[in-house]
Amino acid sequence: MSWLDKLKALFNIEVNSPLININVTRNSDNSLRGKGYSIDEEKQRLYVNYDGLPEEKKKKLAEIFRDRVESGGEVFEDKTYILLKDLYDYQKNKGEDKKVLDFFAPLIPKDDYEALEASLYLRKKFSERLDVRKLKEDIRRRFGDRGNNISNLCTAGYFEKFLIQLYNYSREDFKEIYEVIVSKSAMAVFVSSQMSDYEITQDLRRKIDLSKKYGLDFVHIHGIGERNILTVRRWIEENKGSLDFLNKEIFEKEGIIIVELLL
Amino acid sequence: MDEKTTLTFDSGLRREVLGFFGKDVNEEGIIVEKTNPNQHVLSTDGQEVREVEFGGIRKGSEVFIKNDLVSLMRLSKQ
Repeated sequence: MSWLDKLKALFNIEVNSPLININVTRNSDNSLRGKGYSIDEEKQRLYVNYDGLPEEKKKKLAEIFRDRVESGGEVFEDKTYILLKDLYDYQKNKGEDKKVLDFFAPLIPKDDYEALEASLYLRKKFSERLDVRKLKEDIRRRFGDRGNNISNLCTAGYFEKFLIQLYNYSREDFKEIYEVIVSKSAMAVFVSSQMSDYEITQDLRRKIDLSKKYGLDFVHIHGIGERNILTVRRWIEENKGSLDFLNKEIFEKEGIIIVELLL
Repeated sequence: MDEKTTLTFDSGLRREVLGFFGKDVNEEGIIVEKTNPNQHVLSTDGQEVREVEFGGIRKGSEVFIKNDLVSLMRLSKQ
């Protein structure tokens, strides 16, 4: 008897259509109201209320989980499965992202490539207005500040709009400049709500110096969200005189601001 | 048809599901063997797995799947 047949037998379930998903739940929203299970025939889902099961059924459920894995299957935490399923779809429909990845695959370290791939997916989700904070944190945890820099640079389009051009223009310089940009996050400051004016100034001073050292004649400031947009605007007005730059092209749209400082 | 039916669980049931497979969580939040708490379980890339990172188990010798974007991106390419 298969694991699925055992599970149906456990609850004496007969269903007319195949089940797509069995989800074992804590029933924290009490939607199952003390029942051991519930079927959504339209979604082809069976919900098992773990807390509503007697001990004997819990033991049988545990066996079913083990059978599932031992027979070559997998068991997933439900949010993990949702993300994995979306990633499977992404792999089949990468579109322009595939071109970016194919371009950089032979040029950058393996970890950077993985960070870039994850960042392209994050960017896609960001463009769909989904909450990407956990995804961003996942990249930072795995790849540290370097991964975080790659994520910021990717979201802002630097890989396509600048780094590809840089490689095509000067292959000899690419490696060194790429390293500076990615490891030290030269070329751009990403203003967050946690940054004080002092921190913004220090970061920009450092990047202006780096940019000049490597022949880059600009630094960009990015801000996302109303509060950060106001911070960026105010900072530019207050510092125009003291730091040697001209600000050009304020891009502001849908809660994003980008200012180019010409050096 | 069985292979197309997925089996999932709420994040609130992580400990119970780990118990199904003879695992426990130590004081540091790391998943360990119930019968040998000094033995940490390992993920697909050889790292120890914290309870909050536990995303699933796959076939074979009970390979533990972490729920972070990079681990799942690698899995999606297999």
